[in-house]
Amino acid sequence: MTPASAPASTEPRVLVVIRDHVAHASLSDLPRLLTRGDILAVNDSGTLPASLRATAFGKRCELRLAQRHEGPGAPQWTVAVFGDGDHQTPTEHRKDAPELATGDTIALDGGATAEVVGVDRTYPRRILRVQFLDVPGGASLPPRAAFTAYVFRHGRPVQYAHVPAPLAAWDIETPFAARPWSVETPSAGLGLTASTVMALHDAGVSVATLTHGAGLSSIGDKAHDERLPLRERYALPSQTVHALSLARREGRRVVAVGTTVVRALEGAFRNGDGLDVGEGETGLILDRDHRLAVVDGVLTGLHEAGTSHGRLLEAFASASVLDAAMRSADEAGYRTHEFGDRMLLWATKG
Amino acid sequence: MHQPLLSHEPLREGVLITGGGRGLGAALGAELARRGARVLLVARSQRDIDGVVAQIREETPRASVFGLAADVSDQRDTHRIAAVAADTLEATTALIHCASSLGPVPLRPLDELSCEAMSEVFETNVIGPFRLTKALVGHMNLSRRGLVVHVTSDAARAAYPRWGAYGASKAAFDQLMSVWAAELPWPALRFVSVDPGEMDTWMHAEALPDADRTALAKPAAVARDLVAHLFAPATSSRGQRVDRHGAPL
Repeated sequence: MTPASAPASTEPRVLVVIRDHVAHASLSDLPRLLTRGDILAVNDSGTLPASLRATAFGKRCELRLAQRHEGPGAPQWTVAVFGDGDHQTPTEHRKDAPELATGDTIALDGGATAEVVGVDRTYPRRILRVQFLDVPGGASLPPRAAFTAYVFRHGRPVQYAHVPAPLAAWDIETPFAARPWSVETPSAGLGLTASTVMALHDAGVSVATLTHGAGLSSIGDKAHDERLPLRERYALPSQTVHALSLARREGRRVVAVGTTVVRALEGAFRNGDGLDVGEGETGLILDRDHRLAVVDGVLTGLHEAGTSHGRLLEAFASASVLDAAMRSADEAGYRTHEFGDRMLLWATKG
Repeated sequence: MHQPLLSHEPLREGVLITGGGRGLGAALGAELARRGARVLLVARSQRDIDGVVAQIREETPRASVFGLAADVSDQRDTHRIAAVAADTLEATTALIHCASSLGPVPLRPLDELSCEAMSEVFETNVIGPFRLTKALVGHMNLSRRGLVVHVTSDAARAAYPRWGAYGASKAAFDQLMSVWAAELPWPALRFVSVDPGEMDTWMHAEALPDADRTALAKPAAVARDLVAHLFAPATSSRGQRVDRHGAPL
């Protein structure tokens, strides 16, 4: 299939998949694809332009924010670090950055400093833990918000070789983006307009929000990338927990917009005794062995077979159902990746 | 009009205010912080914003007030402002557009106004606020509640000589507010244009340097009145122009 190589200029198509039955629709058809009483759960996370240009030991390099660590004081992140170059080089062919050790500093374009506070033992040339110092504008902002302001001024969207032209900040935000917890767009929500939300409401489908910080989808190391995603942070508001719990008791369906929402809800369910209000972290890896506890369907982007995305969809349907669906999408000219078309996949296992 | 200090429940709102470095924006920030709301003030000058935030924190030690130096008319700052607001306010439930440009001063008639100056006024007073509103209403639409306030002027209605650029831009954004209210008709999602009347502010002095300042309202008093009706639970104005006290214009 062809990847979408730029932000969508037309409405995304939606392949509806129920077992071996497929149908073609578009995103604004969503209200009629769902049933009165269904709940659509969306990820309202905003997305940081998480690629930061920098210099280490006189050499140009790129830091990609991967995972935020909670705590007071200077913001700490796990970052992926690459040598000189940009997203147009496929991630697996990117040069390494200079070797860095705990205590070394990286000078960011824009004036802040990243001090290395830890080096990943398995991927020492690519994964570091750093703290950000000398972030300007801090007198009137807490450290984390000052860092957010800095990243939005000096960072660029994380993007990959299938999208050659540089993205702008507004290309990577969903229409309902709020807290900037993601470093890559929770892209299933792109194109879900206010009009569609109104129409869903008119059709008796309620929309519930949660926040889930989506991490990086690749650092270019096969063994590492197969273990992704890393642990990710989520927050469930009380209205959402109440709405979803009631829906489950009444046998109404819950549809997740994006795999980040599946991960947040299934991960939260596993963390607690049912769904709890508030923040948490999940390292849940969805696959064919996962028995869905909360979610009945997922609206998601299309990705090539054999990717981690494909594996996690096996929590919803068998590999043969997914293969057949991808063949239908291919024949009908659907486009893959974050700016491409979608699939509404109903759980048909178990 | 005198209001006792703790006459209300704390306001459970997260309020983003542009033009927060002085005048009505700064006064609204102080009043909302005093009333218990979380507040993020935005202004172009880091020094102005730090000064206002420090003063509010001194007046109201328990205030949750924050400040960001950013330019509403710069499209690179739109999502930056929205993201910092979400970080500091947890949820941005209200947006107040106070930032505004008069264009070149002394004010001049339209035939003496350059097209570039007209364009700059519209960037600051219409396009920038449009972008920022757009970045925030998507989430308000999901939660079906929220408040967007546009500080407008009678120059948007009356034809005052030399106020053409400012008046036209205010009229344009008034109209966008009304259309938003029509497109997103949730009862608790409100778009209100409020005309505060003439105030003793830096902007007023720029426009009318010879005015009798004693005849002008103080921003703090206006801010008290605005907060009292805009955030009152019973307030139902949507897509309307209202005066300082909430009466429809």
